Amino acid sequence: MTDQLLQALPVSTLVLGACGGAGATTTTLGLANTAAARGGAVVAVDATPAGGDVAERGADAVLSVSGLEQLVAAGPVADDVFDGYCSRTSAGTRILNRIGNQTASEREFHTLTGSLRARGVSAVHDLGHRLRAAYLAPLLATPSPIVLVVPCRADAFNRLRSALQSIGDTLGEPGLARTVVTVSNQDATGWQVDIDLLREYLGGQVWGIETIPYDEHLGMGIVIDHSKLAPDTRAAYERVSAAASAIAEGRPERV
Amino acid sequence: MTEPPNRAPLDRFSHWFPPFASAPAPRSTAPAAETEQQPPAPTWLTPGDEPDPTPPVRGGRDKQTLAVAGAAAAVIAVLAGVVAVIASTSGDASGTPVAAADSGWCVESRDGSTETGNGPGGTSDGVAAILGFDHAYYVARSGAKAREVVAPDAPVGSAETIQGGIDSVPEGTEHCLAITETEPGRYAVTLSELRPDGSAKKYEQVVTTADRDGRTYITSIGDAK
Repeated sequence: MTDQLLQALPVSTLVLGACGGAGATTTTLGLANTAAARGGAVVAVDATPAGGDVAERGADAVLSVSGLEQLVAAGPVADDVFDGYCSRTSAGTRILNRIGNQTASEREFHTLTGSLRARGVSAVHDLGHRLRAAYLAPLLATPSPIVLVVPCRADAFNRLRSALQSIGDTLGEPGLARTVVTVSNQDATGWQVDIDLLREYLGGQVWGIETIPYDEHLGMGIVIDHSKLAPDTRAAYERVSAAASAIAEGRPERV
Repeated sequence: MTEPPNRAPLDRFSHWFPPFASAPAPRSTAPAAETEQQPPAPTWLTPGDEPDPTPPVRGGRDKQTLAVAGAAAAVIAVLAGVVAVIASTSGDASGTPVAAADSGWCVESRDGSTETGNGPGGTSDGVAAILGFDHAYYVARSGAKAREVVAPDAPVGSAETIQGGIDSVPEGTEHCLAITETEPGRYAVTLSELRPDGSAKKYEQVVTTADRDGRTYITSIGDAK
């Protein structure tokens, strides 16, 4: 298990929320910071259509006022200039935020994806809760792992079904086979829904199911400092990260 | 046997798994469910929060210039209220199909006095407030954020009421606004809604705004007569 956990993140990981407030942005930052804390070069990318809050939530070291819109418009840039467009976490993750004065476009993500690959970094994409938008085509063109985040609530589990349907409709069974459902507990009183039942229902339909426990630091809603996460939370991100690596390598570990 | 015509579609995703039942209401530990609710910091919408299109500048945390999800437009808003009104009183305003398109269906643009878009908005002017309201409604899906750009005394529902409306809109619904200022502080708004199932609707609304302490807030949302 230890070896598995030490694997680097794939070139691209897609984080999708099953509903609003699912924890997709938090999980994006958790995965990216986990890799960065191990010394990996990783960028958390705001891949929402009109701009999310990944920088506001995660940039505990440097908050850039620039966005990926400007980076793409600038064309090829040197590494130090690239860094200038990025916000930073104290763990070392670079964050490319969308300012939101333009909505996302396919061409933009085509350019950005190429730029990130040329730099040899791992990208964790925060997609928000929308997978079918056309601008995501460059991200969906490669068999990236999909981390589908769902809060541990009955209503969210029920909405998870439409999110799974969306993945199936967009990417077919191969997309579902690359999906690790990640249950995020945002309730300090404990796990409110039977996750084992969810495992039973989804057995064989997705790659796997992981859980992220309630974390007091995350529950405060303040800017996230990775070093302040509980050990169990960091271990959970390690597991999800390992799942993403396994998926990228095509290891058929299903529920 | 005659099947009730509307029975089957009620749970279109039951082939994944049957619905989970809601958790029983907490009994012994009463107020725990509220612990994660953090009221938004009152300073999150400051005039300096507008998106800055300038080239890269780096700064510390105090230079929060990133787009504010806040506010914006529109109206629909309190689905529980306004949309209900539209549905019941204005036949031509509810459910009028609009051209559905996947990509680029909402291109930010200005045509004369009409601004089109679905950006994050802000509180710099009326258009920004309307944009911000609907961005909070459809993108952030946060009643609290939507209420942030509505004047406290405005006859618009509470954050909780707005949240109820938001929750009634399917996750993944996209929106687009065409906003025309018809007189100072009064806007004719066309809100187009594109739902995940491909259905589209259009709402015609009238929104008023007012400046308070250097910011602009929505003071009323109504359907166009």
